[in-house]
Amino acid sequence: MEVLLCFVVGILFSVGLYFILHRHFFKLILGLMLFGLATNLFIFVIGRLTRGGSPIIAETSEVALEPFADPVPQALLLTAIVIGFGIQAFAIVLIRRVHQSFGTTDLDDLDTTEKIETPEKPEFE
Amino acid sequence: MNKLLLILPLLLPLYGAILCLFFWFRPRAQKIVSLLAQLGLVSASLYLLLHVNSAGIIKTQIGSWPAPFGITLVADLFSCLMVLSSSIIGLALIVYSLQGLDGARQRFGYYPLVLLLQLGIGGACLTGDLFNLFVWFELLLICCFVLISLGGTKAQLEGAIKYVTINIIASSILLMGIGVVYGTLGSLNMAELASLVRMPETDTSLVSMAGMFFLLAFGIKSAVFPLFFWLPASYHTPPIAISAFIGGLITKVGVYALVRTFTLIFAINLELSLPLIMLIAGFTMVIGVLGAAAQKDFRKILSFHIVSQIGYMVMGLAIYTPLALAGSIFFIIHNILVKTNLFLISGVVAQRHGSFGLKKLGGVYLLQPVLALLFVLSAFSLAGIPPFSGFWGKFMLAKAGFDAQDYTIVATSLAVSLFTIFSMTKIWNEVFWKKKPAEAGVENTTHEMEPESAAARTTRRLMYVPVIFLTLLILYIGLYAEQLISLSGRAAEQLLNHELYIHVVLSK
Amino acid sequence: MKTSILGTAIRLLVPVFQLFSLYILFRGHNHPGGGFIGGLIGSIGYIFYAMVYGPKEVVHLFFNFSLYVEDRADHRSRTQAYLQTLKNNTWQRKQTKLPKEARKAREYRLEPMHLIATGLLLAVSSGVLGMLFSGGPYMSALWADFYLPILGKPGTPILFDLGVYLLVMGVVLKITFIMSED
Repeated sequence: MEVLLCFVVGILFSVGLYFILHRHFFKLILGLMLFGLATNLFIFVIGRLTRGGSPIIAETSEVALEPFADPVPQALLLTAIVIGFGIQAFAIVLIRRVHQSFGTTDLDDLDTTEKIETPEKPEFE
Repeated sequence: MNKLLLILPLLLPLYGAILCLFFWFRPRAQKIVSLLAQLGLVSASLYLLLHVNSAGIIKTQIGSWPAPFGITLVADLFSCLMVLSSSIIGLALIVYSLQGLDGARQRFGYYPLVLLLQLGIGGACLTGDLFNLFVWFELLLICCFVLISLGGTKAQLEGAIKYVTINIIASSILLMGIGVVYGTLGSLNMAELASLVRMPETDTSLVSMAGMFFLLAFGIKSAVFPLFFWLPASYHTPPIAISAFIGGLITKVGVYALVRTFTLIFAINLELSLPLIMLIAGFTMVIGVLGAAAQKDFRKILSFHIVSQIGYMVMGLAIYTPLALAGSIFFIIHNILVKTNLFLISGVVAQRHGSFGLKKLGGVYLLQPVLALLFVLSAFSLAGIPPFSGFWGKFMLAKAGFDAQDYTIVATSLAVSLFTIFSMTKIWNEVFWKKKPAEAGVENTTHEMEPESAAARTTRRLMYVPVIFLTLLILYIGLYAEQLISLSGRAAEQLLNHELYIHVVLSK
Repeated sequence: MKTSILGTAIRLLVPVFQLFSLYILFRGHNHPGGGFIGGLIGSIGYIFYAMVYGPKEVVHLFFNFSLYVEDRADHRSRTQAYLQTLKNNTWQRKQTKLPKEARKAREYRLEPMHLIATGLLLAVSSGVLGMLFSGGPYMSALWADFYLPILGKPGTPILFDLGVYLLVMGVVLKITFIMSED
């Protein structure tokens, strides 16, 4: 099971990275999402998988019965998912705005801020 | 007492932000609330610094869960210095943006965002838990994302998309590093990790790899050599009140996290990582300053100089002696103040003359001699001309380099200083000294500026207040350098004396 | 998307969702549940309502409060006038038979932003209360030593959860309103 998950993590990472390097906006978003998913799965796997033992202490005993799953990676995962959700939502809205105001879906068209010449109209105030 | 002292720098901006949310439709009330919250924050962090200076490292356990299990807040001298300087910058920025930021942005949540950003920086500096560090970093980054794209001009959106993409990847890498650390060592408390990696029976083979994850992630966030391209592409796009705050502070928080983790947790197998960091430091300095030499925009030159100066801070970490770390800490504090001040000055210039382009500006010295003086003082500090503050930081770093016989890096850093002077002279010549260039089609250049109205003059005077305040602070650090030098010296000793840290955090 | 089945059902379901979300909120102390999931469930009702009748109707029906104010007649004391206002706005609200011009209605609108702010304030303040009154560090829990009939033992963590509940509900409503305005 762990070996299988390792392969899944690897595939997710490579697909995510491939999409991030793509020029299309939509692929960029997909890539970021897949990259985040791969990270979450990575933490889940590296925190060691234990099947069928929830870390809940029964009312009759003082400690949880072995073997029990480590709850910490799951807590980290939950937090990371929520944070990632927020950031991805922001990224989607941002890309929508970029698409609206630039009228393009190609990341290569966004190259004005790196040019040495100052734009004609400075955009302050 | 500790519990209140440590939580106040987090609670004050948070309560300020909440009050700002209540007054969402009343920008005037938001201004007052955020000003008061910032004033409180400055005094709280000053008091925290004084207390830590006399009483040593202090900690508190959130929710009274004991040390390796609950979330720890720790304050040592380094983190106190970071919190204090960031709060001072926040105060200056809020005073600046009372006049220097347009009304639309102020109405759409500028003040709560700045306060939440302040909260994120405070949390990242005070936390004693790796995962918590990640969470504070995310909070800080989300606020940065929104601040950079606030207002939604074309340039801002374009800068924001680059910033967001690269930072999401960096956060993922950081999360992976944390996962590896937890998977191999089974803890997330920094003090417990520090004691675990130093035990001989611990298997530390994977810890160095996790260290590389951290180096990569914080390297992206603090814009070191091969990973800095997003910074000059995005930092100059928002209005100056925002880019001064972000450009002055956020990269330094990345350096702080790098120094913290590499002195505490990844302080094993250093013979592998330190040469790499040294290489990164040298290249960062050189590439940053060369990039700045090519630019023709006030803000972009400053953005590239951020990259260059990150190199100095990382250089202190790479030499890894008490003096070098002290130099690094001194340099971080000095750089936060100076860089923000230079950004603010560029904002004041642009507010009067309507441009950031070096070709279009000119003759500012004739119209605003005081501003020219303030710029010269800050620029000399940045370049490191004695007796200004930059000199002491570079002096400490260079001396530490000589002591450790790393002559190459010292030579590089000194050469880079020369180039910094070159860039600053270029700004001086083009913006302040040369004649105002004639507009195309306008022949008569004798009275090229229409006289200001009285209201505009008051506005401009108010924008001078934070600039003068920061310049005085820079002068103070430079002329009475001894206090900050001894403070950063002791902070560096605390950083290297990991047993003290572990003892304070893990004791009851 | 105006279907009459959903439209009729959702009128009845909104209070049910509310009640269920409160149940989940208070259940969260010892069992699965809590503020986050409670807030999400509570906002489902409003989202469905907005889907059927539009966000303006949701705001009008659930987040607008109008207060009827009468001019004080000379022969009445101030207290009597307040009582009258109270009466007009509570049990005699439906029967207020004043002509429209004479009765002044003040509209108060509860913005999602205020929900968010209240939620944050409650959550942060619960930690401060625990710190100030229990003597422990920030976020130390403070429990009462008596039991309430349905809720159980009250303490500062329930305040925190209530804050999260309001915060989540505010955020979801804000997102929904913005998205359905597009």
